[in-house]
Amino acid sequence: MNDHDLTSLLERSTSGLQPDTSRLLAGGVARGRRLGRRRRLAVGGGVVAAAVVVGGVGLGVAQLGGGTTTTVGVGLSFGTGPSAGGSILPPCSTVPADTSCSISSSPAPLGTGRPAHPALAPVADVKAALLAALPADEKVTDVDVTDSTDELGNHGYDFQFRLDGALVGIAVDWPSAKREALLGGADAYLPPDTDCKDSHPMPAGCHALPDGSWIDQESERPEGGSAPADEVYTSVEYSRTDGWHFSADAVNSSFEKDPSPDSGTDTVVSAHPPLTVAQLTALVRADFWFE
Amino acid sequence: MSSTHGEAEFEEFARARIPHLYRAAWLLCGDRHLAEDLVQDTLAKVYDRMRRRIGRIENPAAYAQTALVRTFVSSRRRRSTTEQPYADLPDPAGSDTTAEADDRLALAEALGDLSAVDRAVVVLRYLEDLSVDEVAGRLGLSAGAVRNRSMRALARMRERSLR
Repeated sequence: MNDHDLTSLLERSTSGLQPDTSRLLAGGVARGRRLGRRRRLAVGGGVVAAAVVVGGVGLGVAQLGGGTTTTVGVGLSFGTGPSAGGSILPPCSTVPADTSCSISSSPAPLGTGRPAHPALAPVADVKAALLAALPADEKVTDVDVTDSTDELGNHGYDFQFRLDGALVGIAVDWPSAKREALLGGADAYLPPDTDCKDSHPMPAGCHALPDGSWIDQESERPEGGSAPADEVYTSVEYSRTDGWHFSADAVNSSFEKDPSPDSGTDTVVSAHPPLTVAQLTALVRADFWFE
Repeated sequence: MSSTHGEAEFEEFARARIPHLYRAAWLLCGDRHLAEDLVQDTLAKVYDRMRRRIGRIENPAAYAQTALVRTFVSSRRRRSTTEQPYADLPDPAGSDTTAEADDRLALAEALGDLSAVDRAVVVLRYLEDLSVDEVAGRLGLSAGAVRNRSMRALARMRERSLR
């Protein structure tokens, strides 16, 4: 048997195999979504362990869950995040000729952004408000904030924390088509937006809100891989009309930091994710994110 | 470019490539269920990569091909302590002829004698028809290692009386 014979044999012996294309496609998309969640949650996860709760800071009234007054421990250091007193502006617009934006590693100075796009509130204010809005009866630990501003002007924050040991991640950013253009021009595989309406097929949990924004609310038990059989996610993708985009995920497991879908090291810590889709939705639609 | 276009592109890409990926996956795994699992994991990586806002896939087909073989090799490494015999029986396919089924059985047995990396070399080199250098790049091996593994695999398959 020579090389040519082997090629012929491989082709001949597999030519009759008929995969269920639609099922494999659906499974691939479902796993891909989970992979994306893991990656999003892992973004700040690498430093979560170092951001241990400092404790002892009273933070007002819980707006979710029981709605009672609570006190939660809050880490006071923001690590690499923007300065606590400043605000950040959206990145460059999608207009090619727009030169009013800043392409740098630091947030754009006040006044250089597009007026139609609200600026994020100072990270300290957002963090305090976010933690105050969490359910009163769940212990908050491992609070971490990462400034996701990149060298091409994509601004945003990644918040991560644990509620009774289960991981929650909320990221806000403003994807910029101009940024992607700087990375190498138009690419059919890099959608500049992630509105759920553009998914194909459109997710069942995707719908428009009265203000024209889009939201995708899911509660999902992932299939396949080596995730625990009883691991469940809740997730919300919220795309505002002004370009700001939120990704919020909660999982009922310890969620180890390895982003590999097959790491198989998660430990389920509760029957349900620590936040429901309604609670995640309330968080991403809260006013405290913006000035 | 709209994201609708991007999502549609993924589905178009996936539907076009799944049959080919499945054939390669079946040769690697020797089992329909494991092959389906491998294809879905591969598609998941492509899907996730395509949706990222940073980083780009110049050649999605090559990316998927690389993801397939690397996912397979790494999964076999993880499972090496509980390794199951490869390819108990060929799984049925609706349009199989007896000759195809016989070929597949013999091939499955022969491939079952090879290591995971050698199987990946065989699939990339002889099913995908990649050059030695391309296979080396896909698997992170040196060109010399690919040549050696190819020769060794071919010799072992001959020993299994594959014709």
